[in-house]
Amino acid sequence: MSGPRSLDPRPAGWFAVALSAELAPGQERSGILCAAPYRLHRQRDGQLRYVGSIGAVAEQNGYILAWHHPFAQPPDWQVPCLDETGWRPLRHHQLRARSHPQETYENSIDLAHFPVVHGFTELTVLQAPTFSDNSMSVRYRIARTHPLPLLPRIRPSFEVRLHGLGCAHNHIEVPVAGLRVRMFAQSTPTEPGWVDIRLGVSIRANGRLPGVLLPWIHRGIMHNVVHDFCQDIAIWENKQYRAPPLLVREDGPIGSFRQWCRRYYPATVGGAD
Amino acid sequence: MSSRYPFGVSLSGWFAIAWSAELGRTGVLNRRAFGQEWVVFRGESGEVQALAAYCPHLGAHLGHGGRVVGEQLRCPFHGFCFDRSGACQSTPYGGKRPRLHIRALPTQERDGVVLVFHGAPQVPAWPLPENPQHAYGRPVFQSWRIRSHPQEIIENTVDHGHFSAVHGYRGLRPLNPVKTDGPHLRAGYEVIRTQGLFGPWSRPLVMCMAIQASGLGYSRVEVTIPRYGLLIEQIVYPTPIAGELLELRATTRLRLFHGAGGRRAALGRRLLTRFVSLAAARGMARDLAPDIRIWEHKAYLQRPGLAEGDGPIGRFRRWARQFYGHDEMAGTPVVKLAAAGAAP
Repeated sequence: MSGPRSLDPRPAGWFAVALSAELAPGQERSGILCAAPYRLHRQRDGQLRYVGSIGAVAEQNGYILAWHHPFAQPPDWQVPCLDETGWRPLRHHQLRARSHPQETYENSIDLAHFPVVHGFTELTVLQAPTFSDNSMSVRYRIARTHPLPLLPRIRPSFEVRLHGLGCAHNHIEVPVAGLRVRMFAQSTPTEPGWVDIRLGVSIRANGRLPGVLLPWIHRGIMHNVVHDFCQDIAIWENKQYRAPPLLVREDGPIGSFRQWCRRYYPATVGGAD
Repeated sequence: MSSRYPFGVSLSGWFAIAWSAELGRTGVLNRRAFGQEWVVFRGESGEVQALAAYCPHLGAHLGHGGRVVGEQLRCPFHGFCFDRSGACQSTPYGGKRPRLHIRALPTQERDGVVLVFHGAPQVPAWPLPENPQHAYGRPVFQSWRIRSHPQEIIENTVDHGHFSAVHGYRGLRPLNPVKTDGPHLRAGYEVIRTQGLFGPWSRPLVMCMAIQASGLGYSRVEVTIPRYGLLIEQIVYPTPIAGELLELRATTRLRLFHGAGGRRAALGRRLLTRFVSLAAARGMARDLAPDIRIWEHKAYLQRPGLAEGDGPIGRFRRWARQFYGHDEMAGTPVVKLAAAGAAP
C-alpha cells in the first residue's frame, strides 16, 4: 500500500484549475477536481461558466481558481490577489504527482526535511507559523549549497503564505541583490490520490541587478523550484500518511498544521489526526 | 483474499525475499511480501537486513531514496537512521535518540538467497535445516511470478498422485513415510521418470527424492540419480506477495560423484557440473510448467475427494495450520482454516 492512506480526496477550498491564458474566449475544458468531473467554458465576453464539481471561480494572478465544497456550499473566504505592477510576467510549470495537497503543504512547515531533501545548509525560523482562519504563514532565513560556487553565498528570507489547501504564495527576498521572488505553489486534488501542482514564478528587481540578466535569473529560479518539487515528489509518491505521526521535539509544528487542516474536510474527519 | 482458497498471505516462517546478487555490495531493495512493503538492505559489513518500508516518523518509504550509512539505513525524508534491529539510532537534530522503532524481520542469507522470518514478533524464528556439507556446484537461480499460494505449492510434495499424472513419473514408491517435526516435514520417494533428464530422447531414469519442507516458504528436494552418479539439490521458495500473487524462486545445484582427481580433471568437472546444473534447471522448469498451470487455476477444496494412493494430504494440511494466525500485528485479517468456507 502506498500513497496517502486516509486523506480525504474531496477537501473544501480554492484550487487552481488552469492558467487564464489556457482558456481563450469560446474555449472549453473539462477535468477532474476533488474526484468529480467539471466543465469550464469561457464565453465570448470573457466570462467563465462552469458545471460539475466547481462551485465558483475567481481569476487572479494569471490563474483560474475554482471553489470546491463537498456539500456545494458557496465560498466564505477568498485567496488574496497580489498586485502585479512592477513584476515580471509569470513563468509557469505544471507537475503531476501521486499525492495529496495536504502532504505537499505539510513540507512547508516541516523544518527537518529542508536540509535532508533539498540540501539547505542553514535554516532559521524568523517568524514561527501562525495559523489564522484561512491562512497559515511562516518565515525562514535559508542558505543552500550554491550552483555557482564563486558567487557570494546568498541567504534569502523565505515566507510561505498558505491559503487553504490549494494556494501557497511564497515570497522570497534576496536583499543583497535587491531581488524579490514570488512563487505560487498550487496543489489541486484531481482523481483520488493525485494532485496537479501548478508552479508560477515572478520576480522583481530594484535595479541593483543588470536588467539583461533578469530573464536568466528568472529562468534559473524557476528551474530551481521545479527541481526542489521533483525531489519532494519522489518522497510523496511513495510515502504513507501517518496519523498520528510519531514526532520528535525538533520536528516543527506539524501537529498544529494538521489541526488547522481539519477545517477543510467538512465531509470527514479522516483528513486530520 | 482469493476466492479460490481460504488462506491469507500473512504466513509465519522463513521466506525468500531476494537473491543475494540483487543487493550488490551495499544496496537497498524494495520488496512486497505478506501483503506489505519491505526494504532489504546490505550494510557495509555485508550483513543483510529486512525492515518494514515506511518510516515511523512521517511515513516516507525508506526504499525510495534511502541510503545505507554504515550498518544503518537513512530515511530520505528527514535523515533518521535505523539500525538492523529497527531502532532509530540518530536524527540530524542531534540530541536524544527518539524512541522510534520500525519492524525488523530476522534475516539470513544462504546459498545466494536472502530469507526473512515473518511471524509474530514474540515467536522466535526456528532454524532452517543445516546445509549439507556436500560440495555442490554453483546454483542456477530461477523465478516465476504466478497466481497461487505457498500452501498449494508445498502440498505438491506429498501429493503422490500428481507425480504420475502431471510429471509422467512411474512406479512411485515411498522410501520414507511422511514425517513431521515441528515446522519441518520430510518425505522420501523413489520414482521412475519416463522422460529422461536431458530431453525427450533420453532413457527413463530411476530417481530417489528426499524432500524436506520447512514452513511453507522453503522446500528442499534432493534427487539422487544412481545411473549418472548425480546428486541434484533443488530448493523451491514460494513467497506470498499480496492477494493471489506469489513469487516462486528456485535454485538448482548439483554434485557429481564420479571423476578422477587432478587439476585438469577439476576444471573439467567444474565445467561439466555447470553444464549439468543448467540442464537440470531447464528440466525443472519444464516439470514446473504444468504445475504452474494447475496452481494458477485450481481451487482449494476444504473437503477434497481423496482416493487411495493420494498420499497424506490430510496430514499435510493439519501440519500447515501452524503457519497461520501468528501475525495479528500486520493488520491482515487472519482466516482460521477450520472456519473458512471452501469458496465464498
